[in-house]
Amino acid sequence: MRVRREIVQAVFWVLALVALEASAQDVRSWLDRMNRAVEELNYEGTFVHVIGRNNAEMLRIVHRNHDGEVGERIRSLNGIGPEIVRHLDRVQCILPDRQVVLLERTRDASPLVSRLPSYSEELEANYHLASYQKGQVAHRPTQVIGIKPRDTFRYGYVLWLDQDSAMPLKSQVRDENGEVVEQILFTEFEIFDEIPESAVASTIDTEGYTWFRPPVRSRESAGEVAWRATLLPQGFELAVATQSPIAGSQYPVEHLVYTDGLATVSVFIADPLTKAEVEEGFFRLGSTNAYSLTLRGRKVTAIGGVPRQTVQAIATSIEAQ
Amino acid sequence: MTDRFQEQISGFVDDELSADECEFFVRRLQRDSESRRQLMRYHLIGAALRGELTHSHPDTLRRRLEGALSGVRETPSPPRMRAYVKPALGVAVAAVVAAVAVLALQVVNTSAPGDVDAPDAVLAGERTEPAAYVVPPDTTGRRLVSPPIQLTNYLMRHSEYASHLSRTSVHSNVVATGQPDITEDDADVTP
Repeated sequence: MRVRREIVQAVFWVLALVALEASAQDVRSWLDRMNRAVEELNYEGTFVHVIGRNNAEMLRIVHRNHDGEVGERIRSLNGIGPEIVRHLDRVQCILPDRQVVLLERTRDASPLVSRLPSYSEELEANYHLASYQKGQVAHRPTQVIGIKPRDTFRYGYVLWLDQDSAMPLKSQVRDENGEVVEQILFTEFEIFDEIPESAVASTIDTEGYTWFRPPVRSRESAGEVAWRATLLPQGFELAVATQSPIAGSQYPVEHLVYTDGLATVSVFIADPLTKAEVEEGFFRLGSTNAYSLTLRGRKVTAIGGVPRQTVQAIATSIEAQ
Repeated sequence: MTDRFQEQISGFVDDELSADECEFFVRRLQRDSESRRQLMRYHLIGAALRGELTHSHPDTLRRRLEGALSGVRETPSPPRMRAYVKPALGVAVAAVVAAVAVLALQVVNTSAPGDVDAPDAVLAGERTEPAAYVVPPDTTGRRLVSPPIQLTNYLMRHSEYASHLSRTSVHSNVVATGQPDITEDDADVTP
């Protein structure tokens, strides 16, 4: 009798473990689908972007994928504000208040970089993945996905993914106490077979604006950066190390990218000749935290969608190799 | 939006303002277009968060607001009796909101095509002066203020290596919030 009970218990735990693994695998599959949907579909939508409890803006996004050529425009519906326009390998950030356009090249599609983010089994060492009940956003059925960090060095996420397309119609970034740090909620969302190119063009007349773009003389060079973070939260690994030009500066900036497979932290190490504009200390833009300090005459700035202690820990541990 | 004005809007929506406060609130809306715009925005965002705008196309919303507006036009002018002041003011504010929203949505639905290529304007990367970052002064009195150029640069570069979800978040923050919060260096946590 006792043997039978032990067998039943063993079978129960095996089934429970199998169910958990299936659930985690299911979540990873949803995340992969979401990643593809966000980039590959043609869609338009209006969403509310909420930071904390009081700060909210309505934004409009148009995303176009025409035979693999991606274009995107994000702008505020609240008067004249910054606008971000992506077209092929260029990203423009138009700042009307400064009458400035920042022009950036999109990242290299190298095999290393294209692994970001990677929703592999390794993710589960740092996050607990779970799928919850089905929900509804913008009158579309959604699957709710929860990603809970296992320590305080990363944020958690709750995602409402469109059942059909896996597009994130609602997403919440949550801190260690479960408080919503940032939220995106689509109030209107539509997928199209085709979107005209004009729909992702800038709506701001930039005549007379100053354009900042990287000098073209130097190329991005991987693996030549002599700086590394020496103290990293568990799970974070170096994914990219480049020395490249950056818009508005004639000196290159060294750029390190650390990721745990979901969260990403960039570390920028400015050239000593660069007149640093970023002040030392913490900065926060929604769920994006930044920490800047001077190390051996170089201004080091860490930025990421992680808690402030994470950017500070990484930035302060930067050392020359 | 100032905290005080936000409190007034919130108080009005929640029916917590006194009759005097209501009158003051409406007078402010009548003379200040910026306040009307902020009220419209507050109204739209609140409706969105409550799910009331769910599945609404701007045209649908516009028609709905136009309907409300046409109904308001037939409303008699507010009587002098104090007990009726508040509902009448509510109608007036609703009319203002509807009118501004209709105009705003017309703007929203109109997008002028542009060109993503840089014009033959000054290209800072080709400048010869050693100063790495030339920060133009704010030339307008517009409300949205963008972050420092260098920080915006870093944010944009970082977003290229972040997940798509994070990229949308970073871009939304640049577009929506503008000015970053600068906080005290009071944390010293190591992993």
